Amino acid sequence: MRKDKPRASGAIPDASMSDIAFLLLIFFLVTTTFEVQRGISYQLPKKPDEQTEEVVIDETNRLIMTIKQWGLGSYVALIDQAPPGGPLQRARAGEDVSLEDPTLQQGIMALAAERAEGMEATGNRLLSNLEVAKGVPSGTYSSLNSAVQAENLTAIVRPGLIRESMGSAVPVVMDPIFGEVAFGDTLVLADARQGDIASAVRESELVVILKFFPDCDYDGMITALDVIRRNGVSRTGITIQERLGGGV
Amino acid sequence: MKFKRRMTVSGNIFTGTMADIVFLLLVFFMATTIFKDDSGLRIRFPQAHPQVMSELGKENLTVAVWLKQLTPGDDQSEVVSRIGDYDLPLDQVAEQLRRLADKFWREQNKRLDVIVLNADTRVPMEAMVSLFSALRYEELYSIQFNAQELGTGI
Repeated sequence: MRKDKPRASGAIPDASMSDIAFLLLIFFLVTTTFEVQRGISYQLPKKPDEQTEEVVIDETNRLIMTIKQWGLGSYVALIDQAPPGGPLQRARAGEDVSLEDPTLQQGIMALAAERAEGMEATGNRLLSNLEVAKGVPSGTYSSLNSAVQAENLTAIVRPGLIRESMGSAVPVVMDPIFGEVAFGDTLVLADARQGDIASAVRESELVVILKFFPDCDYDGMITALDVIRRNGVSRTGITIQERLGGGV
Repeated sequence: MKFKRRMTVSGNIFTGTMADIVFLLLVFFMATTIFKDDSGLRIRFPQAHPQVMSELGKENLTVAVWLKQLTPGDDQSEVVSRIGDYDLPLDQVAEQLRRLADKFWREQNKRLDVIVLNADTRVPMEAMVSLFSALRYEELYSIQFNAQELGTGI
């Protein structure tokens, strides 16, 4: 008897097709990342009118710098006015210094740290942020402590950049709710269900006014903002050299 | 007497069409997904330290504005701006943003939270400061200066 030769089947095996499709689906689900826009946030001052009081910054809390461009991507600062008796007034008055100069940066940080705001100011800002986040009218909570208890919130301190830069020299205060809070730390109120609800940074009362030469480019502004934010200054005014006032 | 056999129900789930269904889903989503297109200008972003930057929450209502000089680096060159698909002169940007903010409020009862500025590194500060003044005049105060993380390259 003759044995039949094995015949090749015409069908393509597709049993693993679904496995391949799932594998592809999961791979793209896991590896796809959406671009997130990041940047420096900035709050412009309220427009001047009859209701808005003009803000006058005391010269002890005011640092005025003129920013000039020296070629592409290179910027220098000229200290026009520094708080009396501070480091920048003595060492750098009337002299152009690079924005990357460590003495300039340390001087800004020292001035900012000396003017670190009290916990009451940070606490009030945090309370106001909490009221906005909860969608309740301003003044709903009598104090931060009562808000924490009423909403059963957890108080967290997130260390800021200044702790790393200044080490043990960073000004620290003790707070009954948050414990040890250093200048530049972020105070966070969190809830077990929703996570972070409101936050506020312990800022400095130092205001740095940046006066740009009109032909200085936008990169110079970002570089200057970057330098002063890294050194603990969050209150900034931006103007150009010819103009008087504005941008504070 | 002849009894008819009862029909038996198989315990197996028929999975022969599973691959077809998954492929169909894959092709459907591939064909219908539209990525948000900023349709912005080709610009060079400034760079900043990651720790001074923040990212906007998804709940924030934002409008992106793109700014660039026609001839980057030339001080006399005009600054062009784009909002969505529309190019407009720099001195009309604040007014247009106010119109958009009013529209959001009127039609969706939502407040415009942040103006996202995507500006080219070489836009002169004179133009930027005049834009800030115009934004203040229109009572639009919250801005984000978009930047790349330092060291990520351009």
